[in-house]
Amino acid sequence: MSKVKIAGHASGSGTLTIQAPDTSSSRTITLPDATGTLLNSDGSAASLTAIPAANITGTLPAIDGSNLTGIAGRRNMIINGDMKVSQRGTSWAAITSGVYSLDRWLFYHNLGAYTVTQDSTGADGFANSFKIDCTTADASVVADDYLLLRYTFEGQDLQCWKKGTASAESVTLSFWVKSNKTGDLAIHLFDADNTRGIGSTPTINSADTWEKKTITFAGDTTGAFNDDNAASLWLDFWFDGGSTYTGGSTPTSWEAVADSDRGAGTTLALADSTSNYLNITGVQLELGTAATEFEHRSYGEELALCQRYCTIMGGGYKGAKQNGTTVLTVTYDMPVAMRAEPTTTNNSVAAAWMDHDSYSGSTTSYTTTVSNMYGGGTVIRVNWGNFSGATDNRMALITSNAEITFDAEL
Amino acid sequence: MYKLVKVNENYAILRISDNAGIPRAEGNRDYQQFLQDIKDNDMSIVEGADIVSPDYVSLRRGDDGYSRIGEQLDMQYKNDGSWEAHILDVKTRHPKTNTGSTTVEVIPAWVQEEVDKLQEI
Repeated sequence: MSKVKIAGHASGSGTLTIQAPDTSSSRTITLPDATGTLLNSDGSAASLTAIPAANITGTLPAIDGSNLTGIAGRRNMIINGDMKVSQRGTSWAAITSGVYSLDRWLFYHNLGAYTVTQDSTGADGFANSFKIDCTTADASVVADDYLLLRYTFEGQDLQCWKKGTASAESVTLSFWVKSNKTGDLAIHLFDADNTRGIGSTPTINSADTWEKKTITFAGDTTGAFNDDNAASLWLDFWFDGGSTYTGGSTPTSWEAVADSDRGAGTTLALADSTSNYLNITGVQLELGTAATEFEHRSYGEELALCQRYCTIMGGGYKGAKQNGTTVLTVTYDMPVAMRAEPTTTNNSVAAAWMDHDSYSGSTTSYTTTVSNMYGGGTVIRVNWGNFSGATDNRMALITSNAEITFDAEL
Repeated sequence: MYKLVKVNENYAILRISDNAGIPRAEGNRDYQQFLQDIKDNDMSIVEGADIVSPDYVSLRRGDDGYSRIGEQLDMQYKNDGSWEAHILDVKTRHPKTNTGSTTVEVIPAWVQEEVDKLQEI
């Protein structure tokens, strides 16, 4: 028969009491058949802390969502972080600086020339990436040169950062990157409302290899983001630059922005050879200090999120109002509310129109300009101009396969 | 280069390089660039809006032109000379010599005023 031995401790002076509960029932407590120390328990389990997550297995009890931190709801504040949406096209040879290519991503450069593509390769689990291919090298970097990729946030989407308060939140950026070059990128968060910034310089360690980079930025107790639909924050990936933007030092804590700090620390020199390329995908920015797995969303969800900033509407039959003698006004019901009154471009596919009883003309040199936006961005009125022979205040029907791009990017 | 577009007293901007229509809206990045480009250059990069004076065809078809067909049929049924008088009146007021014209408007003052308000970012 096994025995129970209660032993004192030679160094201690206290008295250990085994207390019976107030009960009329007889109970048996079976001790574990193992060597170790019993866990503390104070009835509410408040003392049960630091249990390794790997040891929590089996069926969990129902837990109120308010007690689950860091995993509830949408985590990734980046739209199109996996580069799957590219409404404007898939390849831009000799891309102009400051032009949107893949949805939500803006490429700036004045150093060399580049082809940007929505590449059909990505890190494991990603079908696409943003590829920058240097087609004209420029190794002679001068002071004002820059080469960067930018994502811009609306201020109203950043209020959860609690920036400018004593309880400002940390945020964590993660992304996958691949390049033929090794060296440091410069990552910079630029608070455009308060002209403050913070940065980091992750390293590409191996050429031609997908690597995941993770950076946590501390919260900033100074300068709240404006709660509106304007640009409040730029997330910049610097790949090269002159001393105006790289001559300072990497701001490892929030500071009043110095231009020379914004790209400081980048050693990648992506512009120095036409052999150079860089792919990036899986970009995620989330609250907290941990980089969780990338939040994959369906194409439909991601497209809808992008359409707040860019929507392409196809052709067909469009009912219109004749407006003076040269303008036909069409009302568009947008798939999602646009951020602001958009710029419109058309692909110059011929457009014919007719009034109530006859064919009235066709042209490819029409213009499209937004007249008004209603319903918080869900309804947009567009003037098709450069027609002839219209009569004010009469109906018209436009027949055209022309596509109109509505662009309300930041 | 830009050209102003005016419809019903409302202005928009046409960017000539890509035929993009830019709304006169503070929240639009292309509109901000339009103002910045004027600030960096001068007003010579902007052309005023076209003001189109309609030709006689448009005028005769418009609100000030021929009556609706039902009304004209009614005049003809009455056969009291009113239909001929109506047609003659429209033709006289909008003669074939009016082939229409397009003039370019002077750039309105609001453009410079909004450039002046532009903040450096």
